[in-house]
Amino acid sequence: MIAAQAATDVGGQLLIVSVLVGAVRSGTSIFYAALGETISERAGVINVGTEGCMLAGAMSAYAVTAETGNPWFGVLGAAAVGGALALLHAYLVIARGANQLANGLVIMFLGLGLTSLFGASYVSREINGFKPYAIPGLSSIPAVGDILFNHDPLTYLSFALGPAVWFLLFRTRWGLLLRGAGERAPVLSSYGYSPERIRYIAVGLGGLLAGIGGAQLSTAVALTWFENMTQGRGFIAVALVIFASWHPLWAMGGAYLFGAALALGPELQVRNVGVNQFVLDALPYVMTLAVLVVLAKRSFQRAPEGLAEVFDAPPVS
Amino acid sequence: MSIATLEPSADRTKQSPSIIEVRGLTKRFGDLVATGDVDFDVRSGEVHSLLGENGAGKSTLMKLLYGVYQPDAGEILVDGVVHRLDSPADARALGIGMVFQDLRLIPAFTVAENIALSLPGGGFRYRRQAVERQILDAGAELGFSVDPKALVRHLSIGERQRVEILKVLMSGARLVILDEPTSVLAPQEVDGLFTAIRSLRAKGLAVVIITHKLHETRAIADRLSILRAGRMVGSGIDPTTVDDRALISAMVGREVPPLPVERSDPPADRPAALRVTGVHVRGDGGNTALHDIHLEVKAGEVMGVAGVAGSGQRELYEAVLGLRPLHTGDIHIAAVEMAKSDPGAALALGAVGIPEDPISDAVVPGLDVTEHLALSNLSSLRKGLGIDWARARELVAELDRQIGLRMVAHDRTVADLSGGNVQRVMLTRAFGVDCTLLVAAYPSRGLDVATTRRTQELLLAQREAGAGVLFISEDLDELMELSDQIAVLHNGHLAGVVTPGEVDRYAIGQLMLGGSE
Ligand SMILES: Nc1ncnc2c1ncn2[C@@H]1O[C@H](COP(=O)(O)OP(=O)(O)O)[C@@H](O)[C@H]1O
Ligand SMILES: [Mg+2]
Repeated sequence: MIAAQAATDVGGQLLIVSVLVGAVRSGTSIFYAALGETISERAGVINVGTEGCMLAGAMSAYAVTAETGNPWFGVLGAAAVGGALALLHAYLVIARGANQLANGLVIMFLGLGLTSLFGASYVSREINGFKPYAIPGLSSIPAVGDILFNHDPLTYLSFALGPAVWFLLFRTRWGLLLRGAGERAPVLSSYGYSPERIRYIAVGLGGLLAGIGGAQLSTAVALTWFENMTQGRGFIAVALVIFASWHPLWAMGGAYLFGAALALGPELQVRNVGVNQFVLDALPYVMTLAVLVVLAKRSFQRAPEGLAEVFDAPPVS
Repeated sequence: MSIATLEPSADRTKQSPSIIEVRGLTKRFGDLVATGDVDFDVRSGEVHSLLGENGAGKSTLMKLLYGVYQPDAGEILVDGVVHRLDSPADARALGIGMVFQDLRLIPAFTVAENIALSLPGGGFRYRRQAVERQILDAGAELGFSVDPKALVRHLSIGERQRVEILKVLMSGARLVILDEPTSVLAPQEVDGLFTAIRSLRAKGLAVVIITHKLHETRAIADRLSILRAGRMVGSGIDPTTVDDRALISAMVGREVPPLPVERSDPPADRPAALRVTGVHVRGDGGNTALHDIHLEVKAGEVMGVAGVAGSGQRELYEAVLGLRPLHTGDIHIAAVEMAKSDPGAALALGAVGIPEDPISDAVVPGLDVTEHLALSNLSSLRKGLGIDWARARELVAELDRQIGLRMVAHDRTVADLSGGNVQRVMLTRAFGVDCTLLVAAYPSRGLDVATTRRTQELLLAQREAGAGVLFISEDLDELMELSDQIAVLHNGHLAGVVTPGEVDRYAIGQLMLGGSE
């Protein structure tokens, strides 16, 4: 049980504020990945390999930052590698007709394997990563200032990216095309567009964002690299997309919710509250399942029509 | 008059240049010659009607003009210049627009989003309000009422058709191809469409319209062409120079018999085939789609259902067959109450349905014709744990002969068939069983003259056999010819029940539009 004293401050912060700060800090990498996956699935391609793209991003960002000393180069590297891995998924799924779900797992293992291999030499390296930047004025607002205005630059970027992707999807012709490709590709073909090309772009963008999410994790939050450091965040992001009904702003809220679940454990520990560590570690995943079970029916009704093909497809024989 | 005397027209559009012309156009699908050595042209400022049997190759020819297919031989000239149309984008760039027979809209999008998607250019932003205003303006100009904010999935087929037509017109086409547009429109709407087509013609645009209804061709066409089995049997004919019989025999290759006039009275001693009492039904959007409907269909009677598209026909069909829950009220089939809304319950009481949209409602992907027909007859075909397929094939062959709708080869996968051929399979299945109540939604939609006539005969045969027939149609002529009584729906209300001999089609139209008798 959370004792009464837990609600009191540690280092001048209430538990709730600390958890919310952590929610944004830990949720941002998931949010990037979920945003990318939203774009991909809106165009009709599920990338279960998002986890692999995040890992690839986390490791590339770390390595490039270690070599160049500039975390922004790390972000560029992460975006490129995450995007490239996703494009491989797109190629195998679109051009070679591979099963989306099975192929996604392949991408995940590829990301895991490659990053273990190439990342090994960086495990004990230190980097000069992103530092929190307190926005003058805003960051001194009580509570809110700490929660929203004392973060790394990638987090600030993500604040803008959520609404930007929403705008792109729902208020631009490009968004109409992208969503159209995910709903009924033949309709786009009959206007002379290529749904395949749109899907390549969407899946590539999705991987790119997942890569940046990985970069945020390794070069802004953890400031370290170790094997399989994303620990399922990519899978949570995929689940989150469904929970968010393929809506970028809902995905933002969902990501922070999971971020809060991730942050709760450490914050309780700092306050010496006796909760089973196993329970705390499992919390984000249990939450994912619970939310999916509760919301699945409502959510799936809003699934892009093109995704139905994936789920209805007969098993590969 | 014989086919040989069908002469090319010498009408007033003779002088206008051909916007599009094809020479020796041939398209094969495997061994099948869908269009063979076809010559055809359309002039600006004309309405050109393309007639032909189901499967004659009309849609294929139009898809060649729209760049969906590429010809195996022959050439296409636009404004007198030979063009290769590698994709619809090429055709659209040349000002050719097409409304497909199977509608091409995204159900999860709003009307405005669908139209914005189809409009060429238009910049980076999707300006929702601007597009919505444009749609309202264009709709008003054409006499269509459409709600740009409505989700397409909530629209009926007729309403979707209107959106399709608006879509092509708004994308600035000079040549508008309409593949059987009127088959889903109510008479008033057909008039509206024709008014719109005339105003397009007045602006110098060219329109190709595929239709099965000769009176429509006569009402709108400046010239007509006839395809039969992939060949042009008459090209660019002036409609005033030919009579209907000559046209029909050119299309069909034989004469079509008239419907029997003599009909027996419904037996008085049998319970009503269908009794609908105080039924309210919710629509897909949660709105009330049917209000307090009271309706009785006697055994051995055809009750027609008329109404503008989207007046509650689909909901009535679904409610009666247990496909949609009743909010209040009850439904009796042969005097037995349908306990709950369950298609199995309706089936068990002897109700059979012919669905409005067989391709999405009744086709099981992957199954062939024999399997589809065996589905409705499984118990009698059981052999051990399996199905006696040899027997099934025999039965289907026998059924096909008896029903006479000339289905395609019985081993073809139904999902791959054209709309008209799917409809033949569905009709054969429905007419092949003895029923108490037959609920037929637009059974002759998309069918050619001869098949339509056969379908009508089969409906009357069910009536003679003592079934009650609830017959939903958009074709008032057909409704008046077949029905003992016609129930008119308006906006989910029963606007009235009339007897065809006692009122004319204008009175029915009045009820359809919400006026009184
Ligand atoms: N994509 C296709 N593949 C194979 N056969 C086709 C295809 N499209 C049409 N057909 C066949 O070509 C013939 C002409 O079809 P269609 O042009 O749709 O006829 P219509 O529009 O006059 O009813 C039919 O026999 C049809 O089955
Ligand atoms: Mg056709």
